[in-house]
Amino acid sequence: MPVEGVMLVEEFYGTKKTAFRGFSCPAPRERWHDRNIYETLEKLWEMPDACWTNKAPITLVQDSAVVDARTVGERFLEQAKKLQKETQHFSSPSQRMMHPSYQAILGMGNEHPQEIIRLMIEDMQQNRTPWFWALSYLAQDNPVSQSDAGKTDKMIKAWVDWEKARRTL
Amino acid sequence: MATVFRPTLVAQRSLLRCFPKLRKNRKWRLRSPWSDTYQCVAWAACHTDRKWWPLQLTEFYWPPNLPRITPPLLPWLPLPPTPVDYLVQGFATLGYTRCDRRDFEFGFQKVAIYANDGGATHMARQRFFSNVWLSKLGDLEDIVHEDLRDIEGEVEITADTYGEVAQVLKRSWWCAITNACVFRCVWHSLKFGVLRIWRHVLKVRLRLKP
Repeated sequence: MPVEGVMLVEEFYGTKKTAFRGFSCPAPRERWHDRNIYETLEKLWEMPDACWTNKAPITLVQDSAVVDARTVGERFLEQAKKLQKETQHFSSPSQRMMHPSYQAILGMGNEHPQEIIRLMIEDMQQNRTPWFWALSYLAQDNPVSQSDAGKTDKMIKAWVDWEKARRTL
Repeated sequence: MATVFRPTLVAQRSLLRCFPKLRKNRKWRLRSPWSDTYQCVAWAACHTDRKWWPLQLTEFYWPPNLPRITPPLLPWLPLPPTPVDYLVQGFATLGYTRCDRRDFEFGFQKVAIYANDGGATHMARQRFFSNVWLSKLGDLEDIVHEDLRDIEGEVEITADTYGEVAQVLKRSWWCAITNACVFRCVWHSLKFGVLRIWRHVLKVRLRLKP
């Protein structure tokens, strides 16, 4: 026996228009996209193939080509600028040396050691970025004397002199 | 340039970006120009001619015959964390001893060591005969701030902040005077005061020129 005041499910979801406590539920009606949705989906599905045939993937190739086209110097300057901006408020060497830009430049140094040494010394002269440890690793040398330890001006001068001496040789 | 006088607004803006807690407390001010010849630990030791850190590299000075961190053979490997004890031992050579209180004590000068999960990160020094703190923020300007918490941050390494105060050290004023620390600090303040005034005079002269 149905409880008084509660409508049966079949009665509420009937195919005909049904009224329930003032709320009218219209009969289901076909909407325009129900018919076209599959055609649209098919078109979308075909898009990747169309892209391949229309040379669209070349954009990806172009991106990687742009990255490779930049010189080591440009990449170095970009990373050095970022490093200086993001770590200049740190005193701790571990916080500075663990920065991704420092690591990226060390990675570049492994590929092009001579060019990176030259760029680091130029950067030290112009922007006073402390590349001392990276330089001593890449150059396998350390021209800074123990008495000048911690003195930025003298350490930069020692490295600049070292570079000059290397060029004359 | 080793020393750069940045416009005050530019300097303040860059400091506020790095230390958001300074926004809440406006009782701080710039004290010196931008300089990369010294950093916080050297400034806490009243030296402005070289950088101090207990690291076995020629990039940093540390009092001789004291323990230092040995860096890894390859520079892309992470440096071992700097123990707070190494800094305590280094500052013991300047007459500092461990202390529990952060507030001002008559007759004593204090320094505070900040540390996060990756070890010591920063040091601040209490001003002579005053209860405010002086911090050299890396290569940026040094500032005077009232509270040590003004430049504190999160303790996680990934947060890239100074962390929290891990240890406070103190020494007597007499010890500071005999170490010539008072003289060096007064000289430093005078030097930059005169430079700042001279710079303003130069500016006025340049403006007066047609």
